[in-house]
Amino acid sequence: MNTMRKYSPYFILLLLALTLLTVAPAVAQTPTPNEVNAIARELWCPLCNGVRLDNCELQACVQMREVIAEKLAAGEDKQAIKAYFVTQYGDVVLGAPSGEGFNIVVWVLPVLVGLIGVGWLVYFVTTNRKAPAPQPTAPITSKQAAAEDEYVRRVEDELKKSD
Amino acid sequence: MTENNTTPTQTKKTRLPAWVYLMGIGGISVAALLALLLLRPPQKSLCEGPAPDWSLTLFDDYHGGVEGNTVTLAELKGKPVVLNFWASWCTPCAEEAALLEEAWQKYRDQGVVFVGIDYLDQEPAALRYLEKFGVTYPNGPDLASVMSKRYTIRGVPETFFINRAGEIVGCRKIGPLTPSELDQRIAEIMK
Repeated sequence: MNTMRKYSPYFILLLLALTLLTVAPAVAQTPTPNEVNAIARELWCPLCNGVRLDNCELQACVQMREVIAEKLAAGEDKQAIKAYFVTQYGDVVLGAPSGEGFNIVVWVLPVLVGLIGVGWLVYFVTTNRKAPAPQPTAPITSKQAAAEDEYVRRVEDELKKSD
Repeated sequence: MTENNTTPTQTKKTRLPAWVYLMGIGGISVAALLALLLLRPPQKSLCEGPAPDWSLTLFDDYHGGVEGNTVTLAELKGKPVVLNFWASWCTPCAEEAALLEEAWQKYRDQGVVFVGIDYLDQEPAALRYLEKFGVTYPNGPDLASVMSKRYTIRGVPETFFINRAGEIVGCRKIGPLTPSELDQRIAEIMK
């Protein structure tokens, strides 16, 4: 009896240690909401327009975040989890088209348009620089001068009348 | 009167070379094409026409008597098919889930095949849903939304009724089915 009393604290400690050893890895593997959201932030709700998964409260999004947590707990990395969702939903879940097939146009076109724009701008600037300087005004002909004089005279007359 | 009234600089206009115009027209054409592709295409009616072909990888334990992991529409030719799109997060789907299973049990011996397509869903939630409603007919996920794009699904539930010749009879049913409606639509594809 005395022996039992003597060793019982050690036995309890041993039990505690064993329990901790069993439970600790499970606790450590449970991902935190921040870890889940770090991946959810890079994914988009496939049912919504322009809503990121970490900001989506639809049941479908909640389920998707649960799957992220399960996969993180199973030791999968971010790339593997994202690849899983692409398999499930397609590129829409990445919020951006892939750079394969026809989709490559979406990535190439803005660059192409930018290059064309810059090319056009360079052309426009250089052409304007090379353009001849404005020539001095051509001499006014006698007919023009007469017409102008007549016009000026009539304006002055009208002004005088109005005074 | 025929004398020139303007300065030489006013008459001279800078003309852009033809390639600039061509590039501009090309750029605008490609941008317009992209805009058309990015816009949501109109929903096809798919009424009274050949059903788009599909191949579905089934959930484990939800093969419903189908041999192998996949089922295709081509394989089911000669049999009337009820094709139901659903999701575990969809409340109206839950309204018809038990009814569909009941109808499957009622008509399976007459050769009618029910196929459930899980739309934009997660497998654990989908399996919980199937278990909850006791669904046993073939079911599988619509991976990368290939089937829902082909059938231009806008929401769930949507159900198509395909006859033995592989043609859609009537139009798609949008929303939960009623028992009488389901019986009537199945009778139409069994003819």
